[in-house]
Order: sequence, then C-alpha cells, then structure tokens
Amino acid sequence: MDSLINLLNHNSNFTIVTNKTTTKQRQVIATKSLSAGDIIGPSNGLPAKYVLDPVEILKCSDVAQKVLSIGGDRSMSSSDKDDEYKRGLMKRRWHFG
Amino acid sequence: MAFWIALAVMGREAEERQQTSESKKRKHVDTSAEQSTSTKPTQQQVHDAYLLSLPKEGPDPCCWSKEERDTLLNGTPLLTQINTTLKQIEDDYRRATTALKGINLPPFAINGQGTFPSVLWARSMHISRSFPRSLIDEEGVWWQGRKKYQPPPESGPVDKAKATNNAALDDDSTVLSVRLGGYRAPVITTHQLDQSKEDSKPPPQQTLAEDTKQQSQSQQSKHHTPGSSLGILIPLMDMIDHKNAHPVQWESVYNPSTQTRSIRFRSCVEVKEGELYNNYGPKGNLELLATYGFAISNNVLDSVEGIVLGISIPNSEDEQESSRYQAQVELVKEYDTPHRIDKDRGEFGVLFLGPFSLHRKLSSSTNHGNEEDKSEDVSEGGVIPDELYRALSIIGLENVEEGPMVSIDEMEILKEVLTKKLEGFGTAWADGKRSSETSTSRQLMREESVEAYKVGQRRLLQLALAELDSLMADNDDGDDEEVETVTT
Repeated sequence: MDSLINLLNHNSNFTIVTNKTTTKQRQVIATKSLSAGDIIGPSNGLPAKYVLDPVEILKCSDVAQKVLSIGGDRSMSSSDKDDEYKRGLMKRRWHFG
Repeated sequence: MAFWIALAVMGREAEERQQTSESKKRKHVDTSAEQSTSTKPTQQQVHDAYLLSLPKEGPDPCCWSKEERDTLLNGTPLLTQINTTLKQIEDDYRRATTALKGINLPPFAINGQGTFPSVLWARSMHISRSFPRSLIDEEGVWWQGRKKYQPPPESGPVDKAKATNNAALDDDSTVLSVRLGGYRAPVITTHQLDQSKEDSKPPPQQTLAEDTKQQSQSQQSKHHTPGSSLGILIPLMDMIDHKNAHPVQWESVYNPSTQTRSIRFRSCVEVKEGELYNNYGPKGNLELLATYGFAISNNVLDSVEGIVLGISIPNSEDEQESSRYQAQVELVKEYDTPHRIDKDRGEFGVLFLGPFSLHRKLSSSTNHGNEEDKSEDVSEGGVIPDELYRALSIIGLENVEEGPMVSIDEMEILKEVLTKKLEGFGTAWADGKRSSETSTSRQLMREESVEAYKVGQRRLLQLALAELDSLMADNDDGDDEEVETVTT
C-alpha cells in the first residue's frame, strides 16, 4: 500500500489509513477540506497508462490468448445463448448495474 | 475467465518480483523509494504495487466460505444466485484449464491459494473495483458492453467545472464526465476546455437510460475486441468507499497535444477533512452485497426481484378456456409484459408472467445537484409496480368481453407468492442469530450487511402485503367484487 501511495499519490489531497479496529480496514481520508468542483486525489489526475485495461492485458497474456483462441471462455464468445449468460455476468461487473 | 486468469497470473508475477526484490534488499541498501518519487514510475511498477496492495480475500459472497454463505444467506434468493454464479465460474474454469492443457502454463496461484481460489479472487477484485472502460476509450464499448459509445458530434460543457483545476491542460483537451448523485442514472457528457467553443454549443447531455434505450433500438455488434466490454481497474481511486447518492464526478481528460489521457475525480459538494466517498452508482442491497460484499441500512434503492406469476395453458379442445387464454396472450403482448412459456410444466404448459420487482417509486428528475436533493428523489406511493397489477389483471380475465380485472382471487395469489418470499428472509436478529463476541470484524461486517439486505427485503415485502390488504379491504367495502386497476 505504501509503495502504491509513493508511486501515485503526489500532490494529492487524500491519504489512505489502515484501521483494523473497524470493519473497514482501509479508509481514504481527505487531508484538507474540499470545495465543490475541487479535484479529488492527485492534482493532475492519474495517467491512463497506469490503468489496468482488460483489452491490453488480454492482448499481452499468452494464457488468456490460448483460452480465447479455442473458445474456452464463454463470457467472450458471441453465440446468442452465451450473450445471455454474458449479460448476466456483466451486470455485476461494473459500478453500474 | 480469460481475463481473470490473466489477472491472477499478473498477481502471481508481482508476488515473485516482490520476493526477488526483497531478497536483493537484504544485500544492498534500498534506494527504490527515493527513485520512485524522483522519476515517473513504470507501468509495471504501478501495476505490481497495485496488485500487491489489494486485499488477500475477495469481498463478494463467491469468495466467502461455503459454510458462511449457507449460514448467512440461507433461504434467500441471493444464495441461489451466488450458487448459480459459482457453478458458471467453475464450468468456465474447467473449460479454460482443459484448453490450457499441453501448454507451458505459468503459475497463477496467488496469495498462497490454489488456482481456482485465485481465479475467484481475481474475479472478485475485478467486479468489485472496476470502472467503465469508456473512461479510457471513448470509442469503446459503452455501459455494460451494451452500447458502442458515440461521442456527441458537437461537444459542449457538462457543468461549470472550475477553470483553476484545468490550468495545466491544453484548450483542445476534451473531458468525458460521468456525473453521479441522487438516486438517478448517471449523466454522461463530453466537453472541450476551450471556453469559446463551449459557449457556442448547447450542452449535450445523455443519460444512461437514454443510452440504453438507443441501444435497444440499434443492432448490437456481436464481434468486438476481447475485453472491451469489461471494466477497467484504476489504482488508488478504486479504494474510495461507496456512499449512496453521493454527488461525485469521474472525468477522463484527453490532451491531443501530448496524446495522453488522465483520470480524475471531482468533488461536487463541499467535503470536510475526513473520509472521502465515491458513488458506485444507484444500487440496491442485493446488488451491493453480491458485487461488493456489503449492504447499506435503509437503502431506498432496494428491490425485491424475481416475482413470477403463472397461467396454466388450457386444453386446446376446451373452446371457452382456449378463447380466454388467447385473449390473455393478446393482453400480454399489448402490455408488453415480460413472459415465457414452459411447455414442460402443468398438463399443457404454463405461461409465466414476469419477472417483476417490488421497489419504491423514485422521482425521474435528472437534477444531479446537492446531496440534500436526495430526499426529493423518493416519492410516496406503493411498492407494487403497475406492470405487476397489469399482470394480475391478465390472470383475472374471466370474460373476454369485460376485459382484464383484478379480483380478490388474484390478490390472494400474489399475497401467497409474497408471503412465501417473506418466509425465506427469516426473522430479525432478535432471535439470537448474531455471532458471538469472538467474531472478527470481517464476519461482523458480513453479518450486518446480510441483515441490512434481509431487513430491506422484508420491509418491501411487508409494504407490498399491506398494500394488497388495503386494496382487498377497500374491495370488501365496495359493492363490486372486482376492481379495475388497469391503466394505459
């Protein structure tokens, strides 16, 4: 955790605290008051290159490519039946259901 | 499955690199921390640090022990849903590992677990922490993989974002914003920072609801890049907890001069020093618990899902009954009622109407303003939706000439369905189900979350039953035995 903060959280208005006495072990804390319209976190945002993008990860993963190439992943195939399965799965994958 | 395996492999490789690094540290003075702050970290450094910072245990119920799932969720539809999901994941995992036989498989058992638990962990990290991929690829597949995102041809401002925060960006930079708040669908817009361009163009706003509607009207592309329908993981920002209805804006800023993109969150209200919150979207406790492993007390977005009613298909030789059934089928089409026919059920098959859900009626207002506005989002009224009353009226159709009607009989049928559902959620904690004082904080959080989910389900079902009782009492008081409830 400290390592990640050191790498990414420069000029940021939040910090992350560990509190094992509560049910939530980690909390993101604002280090100063924020006004409406203020950026949360690193002032210049987070460069997109640090995002973990499934498209790029799948492209670079030999294992994943092998699974995909022989249809070993139902959620990536495109038959009608599988699309139905995929929609159910997708519903829970993102922050918006 | 392919992505989850790939993620687990990445996690394993990060662990290995960390072990190697620690081994080197014993021999040499470590200067990595100093270096990392003085130069830009590499992608791999960030990804490794991120993967190593993730919790060792997935939060969603698929990662709970079987005993814990069975005990806490016993009798609830969520347990059935989780078991079905686990079965699907296991099937996928078997297919994938069968496919991988014969190749030099890199190890993907991480956190000291076996490969299948590692895949479950990777899945859990992904579903509970991901954001829409369109934040890094505006041309990519949009929400839930259901729509190919089309940026508005003429971009305009989404809001009065503070210019001071954009000082480091070029005028030509474009900002894709996702505004969350209240209990409504997020508002998604794009705009350019150049103020002169902003002023000359109307602010195009497209809600998720509109987005989805458009998608349903267009042909969905069946062939897309693998992974393009999956959410992305944003290190650091994904650690901010959820707060229902909290106003916040996610922004993706593209700078054409440097051809770089950055992701940032913007506060939409004043926030005092202390815990920060994100908004994972308008979700009821069923979805929160299934995806993130927590639930919220008194969640107004709760819904009771999966209410299905059946009509027995009559013998085709019975003309009167067949005529009535045909009229019912016509009404199903006319009302656009969700339905399916199961020919293996009953003597001649069953026409199932539904699934329907019980939920509080929320305002359709699109105001995403201050947090205080949320009280206006919840409107008074019953929890039984009009579609369900329509379905009851279809079932209640006795005479083709008279049309659909709801009588005491249909309300009794629905009462029976709802009462049975209510029984599945047991009783309140007062009967001593709470864990002992020796329970860990994690166990307590899970218990409290499951209880919040059950309380919410019970409350909605009780409200629906009270609504039915009230209607039935009104019906008893009247001269007529039947009440026409269908509205068009």
